[in-house]
Formats: sequence, structure tokens, C-alpha cells
Amino acid sequence: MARTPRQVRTPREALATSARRTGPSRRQLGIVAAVAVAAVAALIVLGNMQPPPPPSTSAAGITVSANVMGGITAPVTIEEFADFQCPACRVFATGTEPQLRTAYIATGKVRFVFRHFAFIGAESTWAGEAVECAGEEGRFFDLHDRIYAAQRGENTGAFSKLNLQKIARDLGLSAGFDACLAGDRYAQRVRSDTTAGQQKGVAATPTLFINGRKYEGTMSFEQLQAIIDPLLK
Amino acid sequence: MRLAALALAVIGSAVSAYLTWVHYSGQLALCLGAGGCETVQASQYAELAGVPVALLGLVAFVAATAITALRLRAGASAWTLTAQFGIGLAGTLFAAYLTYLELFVIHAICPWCVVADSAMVGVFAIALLELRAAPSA
Repeated sequence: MARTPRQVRTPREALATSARRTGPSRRQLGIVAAVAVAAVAALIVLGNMQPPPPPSTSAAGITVSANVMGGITAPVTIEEFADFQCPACRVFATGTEPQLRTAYIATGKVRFVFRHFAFIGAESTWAGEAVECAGEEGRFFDLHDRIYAAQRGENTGAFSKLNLQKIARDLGLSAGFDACLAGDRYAQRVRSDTTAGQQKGVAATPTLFINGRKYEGTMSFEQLQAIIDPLLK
Repeated sequence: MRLAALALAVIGSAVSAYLTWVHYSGQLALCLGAGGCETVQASQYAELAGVPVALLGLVAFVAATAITALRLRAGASAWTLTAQFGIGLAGTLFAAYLTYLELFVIHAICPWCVVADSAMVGVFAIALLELRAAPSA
């Protein structure tokens, strides 16, 4: 049943011999060129079909304007001064804030303002600049949440600009974000916030100003409730 | 000329392999003078449908290396030249697209990428020169 070697080899040999004498035919080259162009076009089209950016993760149904969450008519304003590298700020951001958002901000009772108090190191400033850049796309608090979730020690490179760009990319932020961060567009903003905090007597993070009154250190949701509820009466 | 094509393909393979490693390890690329490598590698365009561009380059350059190596043998058949032409054309078009992105979208130039792009253009140019020399069927 086996085919004889002769049957298999002859056509190939013939082809190879003829090909050696002449170059590839125009027809062959035309086909290969068409395939190459089509393959590259397909790659580019495929690459540009990026998944739509995920919806805002931090604030379903909440008005977000740059660093402010909630409407201006809310009777209580909480202003937080924080550093993205500060572990206590992370505890507040990941433990207390989600409940604050659903129970008070989404219901129009509290307006939340995030201010930078970047004092731990250069990475604090970069992380602060990054959320401001994300704010240009309406994603300030989305990136805020992702950065806190990625916190890993202080000044260890976790918030290098490169890593911040990766975090932003995972969030679906645009190429404009990279340029914004690389160009330090908001460095001055982060510095002026920090200076404003010092002038208001901030000495540690997080520091909350609830309707102007200062509270230092992280707070559980229950502790926060105990302060907010009387102000709503 | 065939040896030059092989050399270019080997250079391209090495650069792509390095950039692929950089991509997966999260290391920073060694920058050749001008910066921009990090910006480019960290941009959203570093991956195409989840595949790192550097890996695509590596695949193309390894194929080009194999083909150009085959062409060093005496009496290499015509299909190797056709293949070199095809890989070179696709690679050059893609390199042009990536360079466009670097210049006009990301606004940063990655020196490593320029080396790889130039190597691919060279492989294609040599294929064209050889085609001109070879009589067409």
C-alpha cells in the first residue's frame, strides 16, 4: 500500500529544478503580497477593536466631577487629605469608603472631596498626578480605588510611572493618560493640595474634614456614621 | 547579500526576544540614549488583541532567520525568496504602522523598536533586490 518514493519525489524535484532556474513568478509574488497586506490589515483592525472601557467601578449612580463625588446640594461635605502610599489611607479607602458611597453619597446626603497630601515620597506624588489624569476621563475615583488596591510598601516602585500606566491601562484609560502622567501635568496640583493641607493643619493621613471639623486617622464606617448622622438631623 | 539578510534577521530576532522578555517580566528596557522605551512599552499599543507586539515581531524575525538561512545554501529554491518577500512586506507594513503610532499617537520613539523596524525593512529590501536580479518565470 505504501507509495513508492519515485511517485512522491518526481513532481517535487521537477518543481524545485524549474524554480531554481527562474525566480518566483509574478503570479506567486502577487498572491503572497496580497496575503501579506491582508494579514497586516487584519492585525491592525483586530488591534483597534479594543473592548469598550469598563463602566465606572467606583460610583454607580453617583455624580463624579474630577476629585469630587456627590452633588453640591448634599448637606454634609467630607474632605479627605490622603497619600496613596499610606496604609491607613488604604484601610479607609478600601474598608470605609465603599459603604460611605452607597449609604451616603449615592443618596445625596454626603459630598466627598479627595485632596492630595503627598508626603511619603515621589511615588505618592506620581500616584496623585495619575488620579488627576484619570479625572480628565471622568475616572478619578476608579483609578483611586485601583491604586489603593495595588499598594505595596512605601517607595518600593509599586507606583512608578510605568506601573501606574499599567494600572490605568487595565482600567481602559486612553493613551492621553500616559502623556498626561509622563508630562507631570498635575504635579503642581498635587503640591498645592499638599500645601493647602499643611495650612489647614494636616499632619497625618488620612485627615478628614467633616463640614470643616478636623478628624485625624482612619475611621470605620460606624465611627463615621456616628459623626455624619447628627449633622443630617 | 544573502548573508546580510540573515544578519539582519538575527539582529531583529534578538531585539524582539529582548523586548518580549521585557514585556513579560515587567522589567524596564535598557534605553539607548533617547528615552521613550518605557512609554512605548507601557502604552496600550504594546499589545494587539492581547498579544504583545514584541512577540509578533519575534515570530516574524525567527521565520525570517530560518528562511534567510535556507537561502544561504547553494541552489536554494525560489519559494524561499517568495517567503522572504512575503515576510518582509508584511513586516515592513506593520513596522510602518507601529512607527506611525509612535510618532503621532504615543509621541515617543522607542530606539529598540527602530532597530527592529530597520532590520525588517532591510530584509524586505534585500528580497526586492534579489527579485530584480532573478529572471521571472
